Parts: sequence; structure tokens; C-alpha cells
Amino acid sequence: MASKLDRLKQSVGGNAAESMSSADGRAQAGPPAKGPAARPAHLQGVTKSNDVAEIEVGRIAADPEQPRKEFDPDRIAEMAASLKESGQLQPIRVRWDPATASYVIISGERRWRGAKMAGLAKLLCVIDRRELEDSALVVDQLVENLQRVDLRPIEQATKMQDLIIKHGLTQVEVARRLGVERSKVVKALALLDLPEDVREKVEDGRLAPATAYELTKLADEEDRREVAEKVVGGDLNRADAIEEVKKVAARKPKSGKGGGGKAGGKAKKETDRAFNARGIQWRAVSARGFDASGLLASAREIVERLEVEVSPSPGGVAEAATV
Amino acid sequence: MHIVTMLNQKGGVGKTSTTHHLAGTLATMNRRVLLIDNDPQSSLSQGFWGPNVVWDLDPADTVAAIYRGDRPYPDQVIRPTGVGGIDLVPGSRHATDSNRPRPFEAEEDEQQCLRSFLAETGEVYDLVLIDCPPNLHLCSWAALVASDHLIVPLQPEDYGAQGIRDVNASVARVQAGPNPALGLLGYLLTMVAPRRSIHVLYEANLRGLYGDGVFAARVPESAVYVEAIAHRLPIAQYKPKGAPARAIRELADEVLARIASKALAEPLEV
Repeated sequence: MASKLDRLKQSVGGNAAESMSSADGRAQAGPPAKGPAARPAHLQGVTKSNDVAEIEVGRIAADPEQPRKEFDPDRIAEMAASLKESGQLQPIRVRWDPATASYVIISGERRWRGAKMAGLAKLLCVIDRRELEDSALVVDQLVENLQRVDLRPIEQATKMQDLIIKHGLTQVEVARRLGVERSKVVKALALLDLPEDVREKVEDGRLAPATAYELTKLADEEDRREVAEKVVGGDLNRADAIEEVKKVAARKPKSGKGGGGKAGGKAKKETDRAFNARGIQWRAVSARGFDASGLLASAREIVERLEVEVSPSPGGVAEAATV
Repeated sequence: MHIVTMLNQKGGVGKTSTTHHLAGTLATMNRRVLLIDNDPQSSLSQGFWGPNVVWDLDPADTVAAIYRGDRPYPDQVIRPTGVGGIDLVPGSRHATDSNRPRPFEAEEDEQQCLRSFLAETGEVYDLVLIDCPPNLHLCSWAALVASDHLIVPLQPEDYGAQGIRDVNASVARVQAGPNPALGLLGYLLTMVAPRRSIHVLYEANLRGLYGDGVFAARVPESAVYVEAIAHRLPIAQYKPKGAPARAIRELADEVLARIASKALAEPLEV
């Protein structure tokens, strides 16, 4: 009959060896380890985030910098009804603002307003904890808006200009951050050159932005208004508007009322064009007239000259004055 | 859900062993038990799974995740031990870094981390047993902050009794601060050789000093407890018949009774 020692060796010899050994002693066979089960399937590859929370609606405030300043009451009511019916399907994005000791909305103001109207106590929020400079937040807000909702053209252009003037982004950077073609940014900014009443027409939809952009090729404000009236009043499309612009542009500069005849045929060259970039007015004038590529070549020369001024050393890289 | 810490600054007094066997017996009494292996040494975990498995555990799936502020989901770190009715938050040597001295100076989040974790588990378990390291650093502190009750295992010998003073100081500090509700469930005599004169003497002294503060039940010295661990089983699952298992059963009964009477003694919340 086996001694107790022999019996123990049989039953737990492996365990004893495992417990006694150091890491290299792994080779010892033993009873199969009753190891723990793996993480439950729904938690594999999952790490809890501290950035999601349910926050009382009263502790959340609208962002004064929010680009979308007007909210259609009907849509808020729709949101409220949907929240009541289906619950909150989408978190809003907030950040903590120590100055006001509240959570400020980065995106989701409509949902928040709907929640208040619906009488919800709390909202599911994603908390943005990045230490952000203002411009990154504004860009984020703008990006979110542009991705989901159509901002009105002048609103959109104004915020783009803010990024450039206030936060020092170039047009290229703005385009990249927004994931759009640079031309879109250029054209949007150009709209800001238009007189107030023309801008209004664009903003309320009477004048298409692409058409309005054509107006910016006219140097004279009165000319721009004139064509704008024609376009809106006559319900002209963009192609016709382009024609009108060329006609008007071909009139001699500073010609009086009623003066100047219609331009004969298509005039390829402009003679007078104004730009506004970062708060500085530029005017391109040439009696001979210029086309776009000629204008660009001339502008590049100016850029090079200015680059030398800004950074005289050879190969010095000055901030590109993109136009 | 009652949360009980097993603590003594003195090592080798049977904290882990008692926790292990007590859990097994409670499970046979149909209690759902959650164990927390709060000792970076991770002996309690190894007592179920062996050293290799425990060595290889991802810290994110152990108590270390709680200490480093991950705030893991309960499901992420709680595992069945393989013994029915007993789940375990495994220990990890990686928790060593968090086991800082002067725990009362730690960030509040750290001091409360076990408490917060247990608050999230919901009313799933009848009893939570927290096995602590043989020191009074952050791990032990966090356990005291999280617990309703404290059991202090000790041997009826000189070294065994010396730990009491420091434990009491820590308990008083926790009661005065983050956890006024913490109460001593009792001093528990372990590894007792009932006919050894020196043990008789010390036991008499302890009971003389603390009266009811000492558990009537004692855990006797026995090789069977040790064999059970070698088989990676609690005593009730290894050898349910016999004096060693009976002793743990008496302990379990008394633990539950003391908890129940404390619950009655507490003023009802309105």
C-alpha cells in the first residue's frame, strides 16, 4: 500500500514542482492548470473610457462661439419628440469649462435644446479632454458642422476667415482641415468682399454662391450690385451671370451712368480686379487686360519679392503669403 | 453585499489560507462569494490557478488595473475560480507599484478605488472577502476604505500578537476619515495547537483583553489545510468531512452571525 507521501506525489507532485520552480522550471508537467477563462467575449479588445458620462442637462451650456446661431424651433420640437420617443441615440460632445464651471457643448446643441424641451434630466456626453487652443475647437466645430449640416454660405465664409485672420491658418490649411478643395475656400472667402446687400441675397438663397463668386471679379461695388440685381431679378443662371459680368467688366472703368457700350463679343481679358486677403485690399489693374494665368504669374513675382523682404537670407522660408 | 477585509501586518498568520478555505465553505453554504486578491504576492490566486497562470495574467485583467486607475468594468477583472460559487479578482505583481506607504496621503481616487469598483459590481455577491498583503500600505488601506467589516487573523504567539497595535492604528485612522462605517468583526486565532501551553496562555490573554472581540471559532493547525492548497482546493471541496473542515464551517457560521447582528445593530436608514 502506497505511503501517504507516495499518494501525495501522485496527486500534487506537479503542483508542488510548479510552485517551487522559478520561471525556467516551466517544462515540468503537471495537472492541467485550471486557469481563468478569458475575458468575456464582449469585453475582448475593450478598454473602458473615462471620456463618456451622463451629465445633467442643467450642467451643460451652449457654446457662445458656436457657428450655428439660429435654431429652427420646429426642428427643435422634432428633436424633442424624437428624444421622447426613441431616447437619445447619439451622444453630444462637450468640454469642461473651468471659467463657467459647466460643460460647454462642442457639438450637439440641437439635441441639447431638444432634451431641455423634452424635459430630459441627463444627456449622454462624450467629454473632450484635450487641452485645446481656441482655433482647434472652432475648427472642430466647423468641421463637424460642415460634415453634417449645410452652413449658410456667408456664415461658413465668415468662420473660415476667422480661422485665417484670428488663428493664423493659411487657406491651404483651412482646406486641408476641412477636407475640401482649396478652391472652395478661396471662393467662400471671396464672397466676403461683396457688399452687404449682395451678401444678404446669397445668405437667404436668392443668389447662388457660385454665381456670386463671379461678381467678385468686378472691381467696382456698384457694378457688383448692378449685376446682382440683374441676376436675382432676372433669375439668371450662373452661365448668364458670367456673361453679364464680362459685359460690365468690359465697360471702361469710371464710366458714367449710361456711358459705355456693350462689349463686342467675348472679352477674355479683365482689366481691373480686386481682392481681399487677410484684411489687406489688393487691386490688379492693367489697361492691356489680363487673364487668370497672367494674373497669377504677376502675383507670384510679387510673392517672391515679398519673401525676400520678409526673410532676406538665401533659402530662407518665409510664411507663404497665399492669395 | 457584505465586504470583509482579512488583514494583519504580520505575515504568515494565515490570512490567505483562511480566506481561501472560508470562501470554499461559504460556497457550499450557497453563498455567492467574490474574492479580491489584494496582495501583489498573489498567493490567493495561485491557490486556485497555480503560479504560472497567475504570472502570465495581463495586469489589465487583475486588481492592478483597479489600482492604476483604469476603472475597469467588473466583468473585465472578475473571473470564476473554477470552484463553484467563488469568483476572483486576481492579484498581480504589477500592483506592487501602487502599494505605496503613507496611504492616507494618496489621492482620494486611489484611496477609494476598491470601494468604487465594488460599488459598480452591484448586488451580485453575498460576501466579498479581500485578502491583503502583510503591510499597511495603500492596498490594505484601500481595502479598509472599501469594507464593512475587518477580520484580523493572528497566531496565539508573541510575534503573532505584535501586529495588532499597528492594525488598530490604521483602522482608527480609516474610521476617523474615509470610512467611519468600518467595524472590527473580530480577532481570529489561527494555526492553533490547542494542547500547546504557550498557545493556551496567549489565547487566554487575548480573550481576557478583548472578550467578544475574539472569534469563538479557531482555525487549528493542520496539515490537511496545506494539502488542500496543494490540490488547489478549499478544505470543504478537498476533504469536507473531518475536523479541519468542521472548524472552518464553525468559523463561517460565526462570521455570518456576527455580520447579521451588526446589521441589526445599525440604525435603520430612513
